[in-house]
Amino acid sequence: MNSSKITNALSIVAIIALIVGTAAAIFTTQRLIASHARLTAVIRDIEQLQACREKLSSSLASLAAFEQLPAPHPQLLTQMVAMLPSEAKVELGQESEQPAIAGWVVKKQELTINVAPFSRVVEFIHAAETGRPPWRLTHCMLRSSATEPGTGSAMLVFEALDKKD
Amino acid sequence: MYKKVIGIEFQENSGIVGVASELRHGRLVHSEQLDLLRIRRAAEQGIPLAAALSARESFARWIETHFANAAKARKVLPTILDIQLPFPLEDCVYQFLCLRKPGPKEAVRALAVAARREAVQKKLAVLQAENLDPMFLDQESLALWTQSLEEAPPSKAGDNSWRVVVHLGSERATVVIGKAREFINSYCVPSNDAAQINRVLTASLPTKGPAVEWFWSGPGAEDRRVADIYTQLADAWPGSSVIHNSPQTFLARAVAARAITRGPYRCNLRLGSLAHPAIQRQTHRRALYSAITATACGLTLCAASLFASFQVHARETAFNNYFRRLANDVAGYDIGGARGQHAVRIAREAATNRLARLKPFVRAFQPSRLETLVQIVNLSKKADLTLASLTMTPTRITLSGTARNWNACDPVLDFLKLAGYRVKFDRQEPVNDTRITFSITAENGDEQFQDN
Repeated sequence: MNSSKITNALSIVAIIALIVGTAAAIFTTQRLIASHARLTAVIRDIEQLQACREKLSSSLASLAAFEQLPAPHPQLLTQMVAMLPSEAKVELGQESEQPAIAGWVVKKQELTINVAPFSRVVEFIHAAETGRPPWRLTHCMLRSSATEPGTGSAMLVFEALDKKD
Repeated sequence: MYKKVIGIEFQENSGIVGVASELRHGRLVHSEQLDLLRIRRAAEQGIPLAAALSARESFARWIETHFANAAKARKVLPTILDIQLPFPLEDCVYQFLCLRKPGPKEAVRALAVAARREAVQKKLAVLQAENLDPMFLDQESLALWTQSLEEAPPSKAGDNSWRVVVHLGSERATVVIGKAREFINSYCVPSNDAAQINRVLTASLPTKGPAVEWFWSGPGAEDRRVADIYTQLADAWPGSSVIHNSPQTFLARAVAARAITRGPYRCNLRLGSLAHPAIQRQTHRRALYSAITATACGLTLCAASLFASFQVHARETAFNNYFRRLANDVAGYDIGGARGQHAVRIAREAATNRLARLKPFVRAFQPSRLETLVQIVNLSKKADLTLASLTMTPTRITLSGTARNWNACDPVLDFLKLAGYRVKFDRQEPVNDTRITFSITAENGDEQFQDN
């Protein structure tokens, strides 16, 4: 094959390569434009989801803290009332449970104490709230005794998170 | 473009004479006259040669088209030339120079330079017999015209005057006619025949007797001979008469200068299969390089497009995967095939639900109500308040009791206000007792207290 034929063949190859290259470039450009629109939409969606996740993250951190507890069951209030004076009449209400998340339930329990020193009641509440996991005082009603200052009756409502096995 | 070229001319009496022309720092420098031996030696060293086809062997002629559009005019020029030629155009080598429109609405005209293929081959054979193979084969009339303008530029006053360049050989003369800088026509006449020159001028010039600048060149341009011819013509065509410097080598200088400089009316009639092997190789090399470059460009475009496509695909996939992970993460479960805003809506609803169910965990880390309770009791003690009852709910604190004076409740009220409660305070004037009965209702709309 002489050099002129090689040049001719190479010219044909060049033309084909240029046509294919140009077509590929046009196709890619169109694809880039379409992809840009799709990516813009995805980025907008991602931003919305990230805002949601930010809101969730602090709540999930609280859950994580509970999940790390070695014993995820609050101490029984029936046992804790022993720290109240023996003369105090304690009535424990029905314990209710409400499902929370990830196998956890919200326990609520009402407690009525008839005539006890308020200082002992405060100690009791403090002890309940420092448990792991803690009971948390949600409602309370204290009524002073008319005869003995510093004493009275108390109605307390506690809530605690408990992991169901 | 070459830097040095040797122009050669075949003269009837002297044989082949030549001049080496060289561009030095943008200036054209001509050597003295070279004999055949020196020309051959220079050619062997690789210096290109330039020769010219005489006005008898070739022609240069203006061709008028009917088109004002240059592209259309260019297409019909070969046909018009073919019609004007007494032999087939296929037997010729030709070039069209200076496509121009005299006015905005006027038709395009071009200068056709052509020679019979046979004449070119003959000329080359004559030179090749002397071991000379010129790379450039110019057209004599145009070479004479441009060199005359180069060596004796028209004066400003003579911008519109006619110029006649007469190249005198021993047997024939070439008469080139032009106006200002524009080539008009050329003729080949017998040497020493002033009547013939007069005749061609009469045919070419519009009216008899305009001012003519006469320029003489060629091996026959000796003072006495020029004076003889000029005397016969001066009556009819008066004007200045100048013999160019070194008239013997004028044409050789002209073809050499045209080969190495740019300017109007440049041509090379060694075209197509008649082209010099070096030019053919150069053309072939250029074609090859162009083809290789174009192939490389095409392949690069393909590769770049493929790369860009893969990149785009990878990026889109990465973004979509991240979006899916994020949506699943926010929803707390696999949202399946949901995409785009639909997926966002599902994830948002799930997140709202999760947030509601996570509230007890958040509340567990908020300050204890016991602290508020203890603070109120302590402040009450300090202010000598007697509390009859104290009720705390997630959104409300209610206190009732007695105070020793009208403003004794202020510390408790300040504390509650500082804690963000809206406080309602009632007190009654003492009737029998010295103590004042009061009741405080503090309300807090804070979200953290509302879900119990």
